[in-house]
Amino acid sequence: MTALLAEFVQPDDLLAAVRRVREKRIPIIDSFTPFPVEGLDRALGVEDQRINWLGFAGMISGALLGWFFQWYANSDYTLNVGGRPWLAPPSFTVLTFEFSVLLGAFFMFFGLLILNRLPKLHHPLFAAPGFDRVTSDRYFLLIDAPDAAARRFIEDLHPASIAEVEP
Amino acid sequence: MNRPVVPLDKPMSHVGDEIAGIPLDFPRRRGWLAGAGGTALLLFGFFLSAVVLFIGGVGIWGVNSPVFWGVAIMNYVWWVGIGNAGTLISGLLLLLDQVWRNALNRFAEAMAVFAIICAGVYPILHLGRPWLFYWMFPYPSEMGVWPQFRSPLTWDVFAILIYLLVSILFWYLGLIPDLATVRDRAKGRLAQVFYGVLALGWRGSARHWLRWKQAYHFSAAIAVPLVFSVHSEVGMLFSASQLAGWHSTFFPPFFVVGAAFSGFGVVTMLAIVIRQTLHLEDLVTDFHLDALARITLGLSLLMGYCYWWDMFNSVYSGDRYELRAVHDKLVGAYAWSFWTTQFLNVVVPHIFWIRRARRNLVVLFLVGLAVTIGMWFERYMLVVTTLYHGFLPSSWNYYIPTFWDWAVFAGTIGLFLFPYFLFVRFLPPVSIAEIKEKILELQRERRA
Repeated sequence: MTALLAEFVQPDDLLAAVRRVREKRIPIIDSFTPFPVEGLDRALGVEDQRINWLGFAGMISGALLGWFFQWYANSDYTLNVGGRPWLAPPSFTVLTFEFSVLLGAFFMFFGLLILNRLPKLHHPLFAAPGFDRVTSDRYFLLIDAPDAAARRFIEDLHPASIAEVEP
Repeated sequence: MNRPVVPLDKPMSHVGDEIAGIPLDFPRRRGWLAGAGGTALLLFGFFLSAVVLFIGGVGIWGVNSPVFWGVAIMNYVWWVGIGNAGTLISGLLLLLDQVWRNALNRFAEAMAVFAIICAGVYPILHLGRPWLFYWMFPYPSEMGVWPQFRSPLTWDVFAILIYLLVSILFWYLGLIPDLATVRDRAKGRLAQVFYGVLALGWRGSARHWLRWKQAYHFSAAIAVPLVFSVHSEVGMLFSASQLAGWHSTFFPPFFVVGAAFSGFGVVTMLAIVIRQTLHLEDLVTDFHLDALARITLGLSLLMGYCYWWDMFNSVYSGDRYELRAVHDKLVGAYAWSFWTTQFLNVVVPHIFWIRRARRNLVVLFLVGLAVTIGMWFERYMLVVTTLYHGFLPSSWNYYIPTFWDWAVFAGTIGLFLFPYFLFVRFLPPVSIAEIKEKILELQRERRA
């Protein structure tokens, strides 16, 4: 399979190109930018809320784990402190919250790595000419372009360069 | 206030050139070696004094009945406070969408990570038998004993550990894209591999950015309340005791304000030193320093309110021991710590009402230093003034820190500064991607 990697100098040129390519119904594989370009995911039609849900799930599991762990430890070793109840919700609140933050952060961080398929130290795109500027000041569009007509269409968008890559 | 806080008139690659150039081709090699060498000596002093402490026991410190919480616990609170503020500056200002925060967040987060490590070692050093520190963790022991989860001392173990882990994750999450920038600019093989591995193969895919941004914002949104909970819990270490001067519901918010205040002092100093030595004048502008000065002034007013409200609380209670605690603060044996605190934290920052003082680097640095030292005296005042006068005359005693108290303290400064020197040398000290994002946002606004 061949794909085309088009390079743009301005982020807003990339956005315009994405809109026109989508109107033409040429399948876009992905887009690469040095920073999160505002409006790019909407233009690409990418929608993904899984990270937020993962974080939420992590927080819920952390809270449950934190609460029941404290409950278990204090019921297994019931220390009588002036007759106060060993099951003490006000005292357990702080650690319940902190465990929920811990697991929330862990779920999110490792969820991010898994969903992004990282770490992946080598990727064919790194071999594409000029792609090292993707972390500096170049904006790339990767398109699935099986025919010559699609390629001509991309050329008409006046990218700074076009390269054929094996994604 | 309409001047740009990010360099708008330069090409987009400029920020990356400037920041990624720092780890790749460090501009101040000699100065760095001198600084890192000096702090490495301090760090060596830390290990040395820790060994002496482990051999001699906590008796080599000045702590004795009734002042069992000496310099060790003051420093613990001081370091936690500095650390907490790093996360507040980064996370809270991100959620509030403060553009100027992007030039400061990275080194504030680094400050948080290293300060919390310094804080974390103190309770362990302060144990009578530090090699048994793992007793604080819940594990199914043969003694059938679990930690007591109704005690703030147990919360503390988890709070500090969780806070350390979460702030490392938050810091690293923000670093990944910038490490990729450094990787792509590295010329040497060693640097390419080093930053390449750390960047995890980041390639700026739009889908990756979408998830990264969600994760980053979500982390900030949970790290900010975490800071409040951790430092409230530190306040509860004091207020859950029955001692006059500590036993107050006011302590958790009081401690959170103090944490933010001391951290802004340290961040101001770090920002000035990093800006001047690495020539980041176009990223850390006068506007940034002005903002730091204004927040320091605001927090100083809040701090003064806290001190006097706390004493009003004691007086209003009418309890004779509380009244004596107030008396001891104002004119007792350690009144100098109270009045030093008042002067450095409440009086000195008022210079920031003057615009020229807010823009003057020397004044800013000195006030940052004053606040940092003042917050240390505040912890001295809080810990010792309450402890040295117990309820009975048999538990009255003076507390004088010994040489080894100061040696460990100087050592933890090395434990903080040496990793900080490594951070400034080998990692991008300012967030590249986030500043670029703001540049585009402001360019679009300007065109519209």
